[in-house]
Amino acid sequence: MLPYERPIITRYNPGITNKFGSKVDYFPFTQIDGVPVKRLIDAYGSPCFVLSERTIRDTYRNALRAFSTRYPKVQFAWSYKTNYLNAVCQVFHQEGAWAEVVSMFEYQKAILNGVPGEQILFNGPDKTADDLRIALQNNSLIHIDHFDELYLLSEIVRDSGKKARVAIRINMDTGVYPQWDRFGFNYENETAWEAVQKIMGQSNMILTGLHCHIGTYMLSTRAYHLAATKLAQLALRIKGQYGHRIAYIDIGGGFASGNTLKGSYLQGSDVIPTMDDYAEAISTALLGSGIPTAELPSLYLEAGRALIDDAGYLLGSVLAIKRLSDGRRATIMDFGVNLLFTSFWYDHRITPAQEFSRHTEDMVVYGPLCMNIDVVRENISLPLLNRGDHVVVHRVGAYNMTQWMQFISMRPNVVLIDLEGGVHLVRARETVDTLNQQEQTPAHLLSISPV
Amino acid sequence: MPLCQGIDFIIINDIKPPIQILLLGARNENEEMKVNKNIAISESGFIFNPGTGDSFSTNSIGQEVISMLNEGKTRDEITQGILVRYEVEKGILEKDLDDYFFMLGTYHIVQNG
Amino acid sequence: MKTLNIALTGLNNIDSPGPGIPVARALRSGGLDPLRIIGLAYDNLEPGLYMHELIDRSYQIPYPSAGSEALFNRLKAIHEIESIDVVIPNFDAELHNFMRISDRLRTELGIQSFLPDHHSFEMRQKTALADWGEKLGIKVPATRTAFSWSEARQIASEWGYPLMVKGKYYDAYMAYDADQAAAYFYKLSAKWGLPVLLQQIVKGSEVNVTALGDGSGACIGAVPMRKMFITDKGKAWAGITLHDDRLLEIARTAVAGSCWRGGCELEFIKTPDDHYYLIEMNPRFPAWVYLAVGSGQNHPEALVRLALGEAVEPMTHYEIGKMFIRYSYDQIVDLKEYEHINTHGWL
Ligand SMILES: Cc1ncc(COP(=O)(O)O)c(C=O)c1O
Repeated sequence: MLPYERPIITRYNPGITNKFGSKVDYFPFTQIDGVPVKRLIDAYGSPCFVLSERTIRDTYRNALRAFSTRYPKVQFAWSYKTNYLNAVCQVFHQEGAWAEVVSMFEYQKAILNGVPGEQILFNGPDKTADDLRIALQNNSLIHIDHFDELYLLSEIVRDSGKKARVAIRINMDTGVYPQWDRFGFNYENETAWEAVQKIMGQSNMILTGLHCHIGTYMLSTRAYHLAATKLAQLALRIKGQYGHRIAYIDIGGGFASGNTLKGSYLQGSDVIPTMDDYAEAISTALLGSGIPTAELPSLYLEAGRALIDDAGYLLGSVLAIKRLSDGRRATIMDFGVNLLFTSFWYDHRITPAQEFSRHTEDMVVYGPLCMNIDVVRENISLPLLNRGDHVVVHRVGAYNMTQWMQFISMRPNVVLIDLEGGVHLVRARETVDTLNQQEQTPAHLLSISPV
Repeated sequence: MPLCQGIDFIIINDIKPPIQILLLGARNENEEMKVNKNIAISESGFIFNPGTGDSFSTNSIGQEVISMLNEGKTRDEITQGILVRYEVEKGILEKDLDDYFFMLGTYHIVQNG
Repeated sequence: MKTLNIALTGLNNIDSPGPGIPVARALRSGGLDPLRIIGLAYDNLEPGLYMHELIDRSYQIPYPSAGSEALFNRLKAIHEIESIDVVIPNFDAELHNFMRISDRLRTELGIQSFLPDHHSFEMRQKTALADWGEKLGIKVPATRTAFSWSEARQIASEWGYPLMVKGKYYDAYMAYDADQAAAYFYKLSAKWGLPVLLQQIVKGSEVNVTALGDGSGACIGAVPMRKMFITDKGKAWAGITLHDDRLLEIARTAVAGSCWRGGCELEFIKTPDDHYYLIEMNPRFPAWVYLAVGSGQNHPEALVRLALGEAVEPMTHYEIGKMFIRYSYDQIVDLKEYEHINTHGWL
């Protein structure tokens, strides 16, 4: 028996130098770190997230190398929101990363993972009085976002008699649009300086660091150069005015991963700066800022997506193939925006996981949800797919396993492939019980018979 | 071959007179389908419609389907012909053939009725 | 003597022509013998595919949007058949990918190219041109970037109409009022992304220079031309070489200031009071590059020699008053040829 392929016919549509749409993959993607995709799906179901421990470690080590070969004191803090599965966090912590959290929930995760309190950077606008008390107790680094928080913290430290190690989050013009000016204190209009003055006036707050996070998926290394320069200038001004040395400058994250932004003409992996490019821009700014070498602050980094995106894959299967009313081909997958939140801004690369012929079809790729916005790819050219075929979505490690939705269907299994090729379930698929556990039904509603 | 020299075009309707095909499939009962006049298909799956000037490509199984249509096979015979040689379930094949015939119609390669 | 195998793109010799065919013609009229020219095409209707007297064989290559890895793999496969010595990309949109793989092409496959580095390529990008011009003392029409239509409208109301609305990479339209500007803004942002550029109009005649830089700041050749007739697509239909030392000097400043490596086209507006405004610096030869050959400077041939590591003396002489008059020509092509490229990917 011959292998079957759907009969297809495509019209040659000549349009000279038609700029978009082309086959990217010439080979099926049949295994991840040596483990066959089919075996993973047989064992863990479809859809299923797969993480490569090897890729996480390699990516981290490359980033650390890029920065620490250029700058004397470098410390990464793993940005929990990007992917806070404990297994993932622990790989980063084993590699030496601290924790960067933006909520008490993430904070607790870090503590439970064994991260010492003083190695937790507590960011974000949402810290309650209780949160601040706990952070203070644990000697964590509190990154203040707004004046209300500053006043609240000031009351808390007064009562506790402890000293708080704080930093301020600073937003600024780095020539990037849109400017993320809703977080922290503005540099140009002197609000940041005002915050510095207020903190310096408090004996029980130690201004330990200056923090910024200028945006995400930033393609401009110049913006980082500017940001680092401005923070260094502020550190110098503080030194000049108060004789106080800032211990660290935290440049945040935002480095791009190799994903392709929607509407981008070129492939993401072709246009993004390398870690070395970012490191060069940031370290030359700090080294050339005029801060004496002996007094150079530590450089903290909170890179998220650039460290984890490549390590994550989503395996899925074709549910159905149809034709839309305008004649376009549509493929329905068993995963949608519920699991791939990032498909709202990325054109994710999708590769079939089994052999295919040279024929391709242009198609829309839909998810299984009953909502119109559930589109994974608006236009992609893929080999001919049949119901039940497997596909691999690439670079999904960042933000999907935290922003996923429990909508219409449950979250699937997540597995990690270790350095030896061993496969570990790191988060079990949710079931109806997972949800029901949280619910409480009033007694009079326990039965479906009318009361 | 008169249309294009040096290349293995089969001028389908030059080989045989146009054939009326009676489709016996459940959905297309009593519907007739015939390949349009002078449609040329080469060994590589390149199809040229001299009536409209459009050209197309089809895969090898698509080529087989067109030549079976051309041989006057019924829809059932075509389905059977593929089922005995390819690894595919009948239901899936029927769905795929529906789509293929629909596209052949859309592109004016075959005519219904 | 060993045959020199040169691959080139830009075979779309249509009414808004790519430079590939003129470059091929320049190579054929130079002293590179024996020579084999391999065409690289994106679309199966690129006329150069069928010009067998100029192009010995052609291959399809993946669109730039498929990425540099796909391009490298395809070139590698072609190289196994053709053993390419030098590759000359001729499209703006593909240059990024070619620049990215040029080291690998050289070290892994032994294919030479002669391209600008990333830094000089970026300097002349539309969004950066004004800053760069200022540094070199070259006038550039006032240009602002807009990330939203409201921002664009604000700029436009400061400047008044008409003004140019330009895409980040390509395309430029003259807008005479806010409605037109808005329509172009949305069209360009949808096609090329944000930002969209607004540029003040400078009135005058269009004068262009085709030039070749050696990458260390030297200008190996430069020929200035005034467009005599412009098509509705803004392309030169006819042009004439000029005697204009000031223009050449500005062109040399641009080539030196960017350490330009490879061919380029500098587009200027010369105002009635003799000011030169740089409108664009295109990172490849123009489609009218054969006028340089016809007036005494064979830039494509020189580029190949530079790519092969030969020393090339700068060319300073050219004939003034030479004209080009473009014509279009209907090739007659057999369906079997069209089928062949469609089904086999080469011809
Ligand atoms: C304060 C802070 N740091 C770090 C990150 C990680 O950003 P990225 O994943 O873009 O590197 C974020 C993300 O939103 C953030 O808000």
